[in-house]
Amino acid sequence: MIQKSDGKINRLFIIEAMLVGFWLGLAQVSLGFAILTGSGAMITHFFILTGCWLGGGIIGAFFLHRALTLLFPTALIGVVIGQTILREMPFMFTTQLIGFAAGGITGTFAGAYLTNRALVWEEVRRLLFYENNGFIIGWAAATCMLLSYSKALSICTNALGGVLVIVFYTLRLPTKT
Amino acid sequence: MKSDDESKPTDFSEPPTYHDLALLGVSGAAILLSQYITVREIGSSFFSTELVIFIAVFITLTAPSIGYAIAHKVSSFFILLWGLASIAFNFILPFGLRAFVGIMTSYGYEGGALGIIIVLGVCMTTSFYAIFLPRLSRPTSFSITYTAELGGALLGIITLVLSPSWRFTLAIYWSLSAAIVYLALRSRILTGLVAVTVFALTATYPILDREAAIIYYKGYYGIESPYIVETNYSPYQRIDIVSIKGFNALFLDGVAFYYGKQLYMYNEYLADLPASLRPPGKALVIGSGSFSSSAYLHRRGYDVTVVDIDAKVASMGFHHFSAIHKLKKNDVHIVTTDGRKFLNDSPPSTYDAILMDVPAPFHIRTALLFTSSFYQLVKSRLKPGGFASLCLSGMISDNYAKSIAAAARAAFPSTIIAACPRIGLTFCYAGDPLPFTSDDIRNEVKRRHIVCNVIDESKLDKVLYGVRPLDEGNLSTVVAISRGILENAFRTAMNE
Repeated sequence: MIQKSDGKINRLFIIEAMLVGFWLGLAQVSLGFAILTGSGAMITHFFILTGCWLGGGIIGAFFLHRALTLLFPTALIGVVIGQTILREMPFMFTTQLIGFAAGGITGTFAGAYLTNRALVWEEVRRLLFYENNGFIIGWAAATCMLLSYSKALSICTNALGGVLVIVFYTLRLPTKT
Repeated sequence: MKSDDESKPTDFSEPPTYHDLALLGVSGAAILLSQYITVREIGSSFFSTELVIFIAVFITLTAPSIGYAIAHKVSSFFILLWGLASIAFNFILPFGLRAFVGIMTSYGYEGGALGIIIVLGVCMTTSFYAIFLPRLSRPTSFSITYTAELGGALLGIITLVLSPSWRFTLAIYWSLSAAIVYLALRSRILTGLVAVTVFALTATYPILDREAAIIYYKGYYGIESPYIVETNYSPYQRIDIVSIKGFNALFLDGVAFYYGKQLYMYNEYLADLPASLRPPGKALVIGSGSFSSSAYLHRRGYDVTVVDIDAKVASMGFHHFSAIHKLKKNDVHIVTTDGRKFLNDSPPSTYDAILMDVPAPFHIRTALLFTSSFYQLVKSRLKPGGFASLCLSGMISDNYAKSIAAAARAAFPSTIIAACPRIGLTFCYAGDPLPFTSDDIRNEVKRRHIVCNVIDESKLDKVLYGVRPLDEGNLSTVVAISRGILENAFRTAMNE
């Protein structure tokens, strides 16, 4: 369990939850902007992306939470490919699908992460609280980057994702598999 | 106040029941619909810009954290009170917010109204619905409980996609509150009361919304006796047709887009003036609005295609401004899609004229229609000797207008600017090459007895020296500063 003997939560887990939430916030805004610029502003795109994210979350939470260490790099690769292909080949049906698929994979990672970590956090509400706070900060930071210099958003999303994947493997925080 | 933690410890050995999973599914759908409705209502009650949307989304994202923070620290009695207060707030929000903003703004407290909405929104929108997941989950059952909540949210998205009207969406959203009361509180009396309220709200919603809109337009814009001709929620925006002193005005998300009394000059500069200076041909108008620009081109003999992403704006504009545009049904071709996608799918050198009759770039999605890369696309779809016409959304002295002009200048070798102080707007005509000269425009302006400062390329290059063209990587100037341009134009028009 992640609680110390004095009842306090191990800070590494809090930092991890917030950083993962932060990255998910960056990834969601980044993918949303990539689809807006590379696929058009139709509302159906927003609904499909959200639906893919939620559907992926269900798959991740229910079926794939044991594959967490594999899902994070997959989600990162999906986001990078989604951003790149929508920028380089805009308004193509295939590239749209890849963008939505990237949203689905990232949602799968989000669902798997929370379910996996719920097994090691004693109180689910604390995990949800810290992850959601990280997401809010990431979303706000992503929007600020988008409005000032959008290239910084994709760079930060991909770079932070890469660092987190490495940290994930290096620290090897306990997971229940 | 005694918390549930103290009075009744959570039993982690019991798996979630079907009843619990149903509650989580309903709360998941309620969270998603609440987020969507809150963002749209806040976004259309204050002057709609990307920054207002940012605040609205921030409210809906922050609210669940409040729920997570206190989920296990509050008593059942507190949850009952909080739940009823939240449900009441969510019942009132879709019409009450607009009336509240109108009243507060009439006393000069628009900022205060925003502050109150932020606080209330964070505490009352989705925070209550978010307490059920942590309260009903234990670590080993989280995969099931979380899946139930996500499944509800997914059904919420499907509801939004399939919903035939905004009123239907609200009815579903309000009904979810009744279901939550039944599943969470298990009180038949309270459930019955909430269900009756849902029925009454759904039945009277058009009247409540109309009265709220009248209060809003009176208070926010100072319009005397506004008459709401029609209101509609498209998937993109709230569309109001408001009759002011006998003239119809088109408001998109509460922002004036067209006012028959005065803003017709916008369409004259955008469409009629340049179209009168070359022989007719094939024209594309991006954005329908009141159809005034399309009508000017049609009367000049152009074969006009109108592209609008929002089918409801197109149908309402065509119907309610028919006395102004005087078009018949088949006079113009109307296509519903994204303008950038439509142009991208069009063959090169297709059009003799391309007009951008779109709202000012208050939002990212509209700002993308003012970028240098978009103007490159426009140029590639113009025939040699064709022209593009666009509005810079302000006077050329304004920084954001300069950055839009610089974007057009970067894409087109030939660019002329017409600055019109009377309506506070500047228009840009661009081509490769343009079919008319700056002297042609000066003569035409003189003939029409309108005051306008025409700037040709050599002078324009000096004005735009060192200005960075608007592009996808730099949208801040336009989105942040463009607030108030149409508002000022509208107030000027009202005073005149």
